Amino acid sequence: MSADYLASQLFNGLASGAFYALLALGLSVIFGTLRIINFAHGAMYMLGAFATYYGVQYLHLSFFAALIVAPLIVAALGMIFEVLLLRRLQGTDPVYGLLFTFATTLVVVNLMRWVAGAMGSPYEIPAALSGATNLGFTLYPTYKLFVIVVSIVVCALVWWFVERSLLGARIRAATENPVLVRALGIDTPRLITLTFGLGVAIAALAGVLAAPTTNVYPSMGDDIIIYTFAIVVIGGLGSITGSIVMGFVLGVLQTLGAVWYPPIATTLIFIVMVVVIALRPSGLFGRRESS
Amino acid sequence: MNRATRIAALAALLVLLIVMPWIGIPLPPLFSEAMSAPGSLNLLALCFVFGALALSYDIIFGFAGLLSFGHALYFATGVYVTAIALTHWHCTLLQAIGITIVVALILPLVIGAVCLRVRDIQFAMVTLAFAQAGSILVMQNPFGLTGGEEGLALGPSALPAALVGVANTRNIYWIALAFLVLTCAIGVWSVNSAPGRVWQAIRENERRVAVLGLNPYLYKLGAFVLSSFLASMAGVVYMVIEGSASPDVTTASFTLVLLVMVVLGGVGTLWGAVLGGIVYEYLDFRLVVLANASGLQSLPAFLRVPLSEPLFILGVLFIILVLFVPGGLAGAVRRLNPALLSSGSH
Amino acid sequence: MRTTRVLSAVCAGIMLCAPLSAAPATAADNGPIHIAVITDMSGVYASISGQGAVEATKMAVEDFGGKVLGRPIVVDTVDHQNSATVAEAKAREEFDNGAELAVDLTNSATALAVAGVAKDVHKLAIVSGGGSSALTGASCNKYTYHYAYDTYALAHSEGTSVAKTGLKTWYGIVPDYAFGKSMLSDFTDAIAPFGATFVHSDTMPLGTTDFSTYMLAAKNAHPQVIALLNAGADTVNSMKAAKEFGLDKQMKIVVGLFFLPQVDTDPALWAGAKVADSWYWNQTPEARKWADRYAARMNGVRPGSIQAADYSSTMQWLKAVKAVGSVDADKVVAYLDGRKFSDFYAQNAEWRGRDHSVVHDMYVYDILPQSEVKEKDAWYKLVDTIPASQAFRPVAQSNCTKTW
Repeated sequence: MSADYLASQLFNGLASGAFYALLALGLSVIFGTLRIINFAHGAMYMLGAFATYYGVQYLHLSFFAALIVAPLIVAALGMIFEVLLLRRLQGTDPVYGLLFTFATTLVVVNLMRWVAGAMGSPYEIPAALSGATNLGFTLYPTYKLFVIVVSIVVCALVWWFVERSLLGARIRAATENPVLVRALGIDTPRLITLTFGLGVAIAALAGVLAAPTTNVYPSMGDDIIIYTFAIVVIGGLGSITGSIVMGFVLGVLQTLGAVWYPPIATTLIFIVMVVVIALRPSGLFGRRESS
Repeated sequence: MNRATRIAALAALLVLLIVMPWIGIPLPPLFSEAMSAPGSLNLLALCFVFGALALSYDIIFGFAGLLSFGHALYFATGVYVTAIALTHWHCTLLQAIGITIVVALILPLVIGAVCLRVRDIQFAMVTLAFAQAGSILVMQNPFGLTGGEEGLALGPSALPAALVGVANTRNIYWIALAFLVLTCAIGVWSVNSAPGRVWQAIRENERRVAVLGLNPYLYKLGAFVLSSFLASMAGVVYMVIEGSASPDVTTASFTLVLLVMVVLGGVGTLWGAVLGGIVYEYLDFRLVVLANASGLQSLPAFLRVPLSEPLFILGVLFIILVLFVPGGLAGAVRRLNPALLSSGSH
Repeated sequence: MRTTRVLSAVCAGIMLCAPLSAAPATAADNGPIHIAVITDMSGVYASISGQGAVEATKMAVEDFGGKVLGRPIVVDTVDHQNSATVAEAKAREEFDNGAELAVDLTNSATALAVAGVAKDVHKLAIVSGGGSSALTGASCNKYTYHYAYDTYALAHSEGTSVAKTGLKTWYGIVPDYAFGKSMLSDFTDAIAPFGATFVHSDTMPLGTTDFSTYMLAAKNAHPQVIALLNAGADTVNSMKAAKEFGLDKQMKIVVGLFFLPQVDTDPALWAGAKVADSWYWNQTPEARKWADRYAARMNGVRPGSIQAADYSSTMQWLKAVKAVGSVDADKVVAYLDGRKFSDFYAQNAEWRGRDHSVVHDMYVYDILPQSEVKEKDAWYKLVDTIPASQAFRPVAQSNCTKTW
């Protein structure tokens, strides 16, 4: 196995890690404020891909416009969903949030089956990003490089926003002590809604990026979301840094695992998860359990 | 209703169910044929198994407060171990059940011991991971044992003659009914036993239990093993009804279906869970038939098509339940009939 | 006492109802004959089977005159939702309620489940949608015929056709479950006589969505042929990854399991791939004539091979029922076993009595780029015809334990 070949596979790992990182990041942002494991995250990812497809097909959007518009549309749907339904579950057992978002997934996925059919819809890589780029040691598909770059940029921005910005500080404060934050005159429910929208938008963005390279179909989120849950647990539930880092790390690990021994590819993430939980139940980047 | 009447009503219901294969009550459109017809009995038998399965899940989820995402694994254990013993090892049904019992006790003991090191969402994720591993294992068809995605079909002589063929559906029906009754008895006894009360205390406040000098880990492990074992036994009965093993039962979505059943019935009420399992299985089966019914065919497409997607209907139903009827069917019945509330805890 | 009252009421109810069960509600012998089309109506296989399969079966019934043995024929639509469990339960219900024949049975797991029911109730199932060789092998039975194609026939048609052009080094993309494994072993056998071998094959677990890793590995191995031996969304995803890494410019891409309606979802993606199938609507004037009638009923969509097979098999069965004067499955099987025929769908066909495989010629096609397609759905170019005797598993190699 040549070094060039392994380096190309490393890029493949980063490209699949780019999706894991975005999805795990969105999950963490939502869990961080709402304390809800958003089971519907895979459905949001799927909606992002479909929004791109329909936008390009019927509104003749360019792919780059869809990168902005599709997440905004899906985020708007998500925020309506939060305000009308999810909010009612505040104060109940967190299990209900999980069950509720699971039920939503059932509804959305089956609705899309009816709208779009179960078979995939075509979507091509935009001309500007097709072809290959010379990385010095090998030719590598341009679109995959684009995905890696977009994911890193978005992850960095969101990390800065939540961990370093004033609004982020307010969100964190609102999670830890909603009463106090409200007393300070900050509109907590609106903050929560906006954060939910942000998490959904990131998931939808992952969907937009996935659209050209995979079959776009209603249950496309089902497989990837289970790995994402595992990644979030490995990184530490609610840890933004953990989600981003572990998303990329596990993407690479999974790919190198597949090169070495293909049958292990889908189990590797679960094996890592069991080991991590046995050694450090709160996850690699999570705070030690406080409850 | 007082206690005696309730027992009498239950006994009457049981008698009615026992003699069902001899009565030809037609119940259209609830059932497409008379209740004594093999099709109806088969459906009822499936409903009973799922009622028992939902009950087993409620023990761990509703009473011990452990959200397991891997319950399908133990049901599948019952289905597959029995099927493998019957087809590959040419065991008799009793031998096969014996082997399954051993596996069904050891497997959850080992897996539970690992998973219970963590709690809450982490616990859910680890149980899911094990179930996924089981699902992948079944699909990979190790040593040609599981038949991969095609599953395993029992040969003509694998089961005793009394359990084979359309004419013997009633025997299978009685087995399923007996199994449900037995599971209910074990369930009621276990949650009212001393350990059962500790489970509920753990669900409410684990630390307090620990302070009392009890080891929550061991009690949780007990609940995990009992619940998983009952699920495996439900798997055995299911395999006998179906005459085959299919990888459908190993998937994560199958566990989620169990969750729906329990929430549908009412978390933490055994009879609610049983009812939830029965109602779910019935709807899952009949909704498609009803969707094809002539009345629905005349509806405009935008109404008819979603109505013929059972998962869509279940999702909507589920959302409504979680939002408006948090106690499930059991909760709704209680609210309508406060008298029930005063009598007995479950 | 209330307790006794409740009990006695229940008992009285039982007594009242008991006489009803004495007369079981079997369909009268002059009632309608039902044919159940058991298939996937809204899932991944709906376009290759689904409503089209129902329509094709109805066409056969109408062309036959709507009646047989003086009894009207009714076509029932049964959606199995791609679950073997559902398929089995629904099939049982159909057979209980007067169905004499189950057709289509798309997806192997549901086909095997229904085959088991057919065996139990002694009614016929004719599988056109499912492709598992087990239907005529380890799981064969008297009451099940396998009509359209199986993995053996696909692999041997396509493998022979490509290997005889001198392409010797193959690379396999294989899903880690029974279908993938049997495709790989069938392909390996098929290309061996031409000195061709699989230099490597990657076995990937269920749930793999990113195929880039494997495509890069394949590219690095420089084979002459890459065989995508997966199905459904996996095939689409692996094809997309193959094109992204430019594999189509370096080697021949062979797709193991493919159906015409799939091209429509993404024509640019499939152009240049090589596929095997049992039938293509534009391959003979007869086929075309039937396909045009079908298209007129299906909003202009041309049929795929499974839908054509449903028509053909239903028609064959109706003719057999008429010939023997009975719907009794044993009599129909006795009539069909060993019978040879040709129609617009099946050429040089035989209802093989030994293993209940219905063998016929198979075909290999190239998928044309859009620029060369002159009319709707005309995606295929016929490149090879494989005679029935070479395409299907020889009787001598059959592992069906004949019990009838």
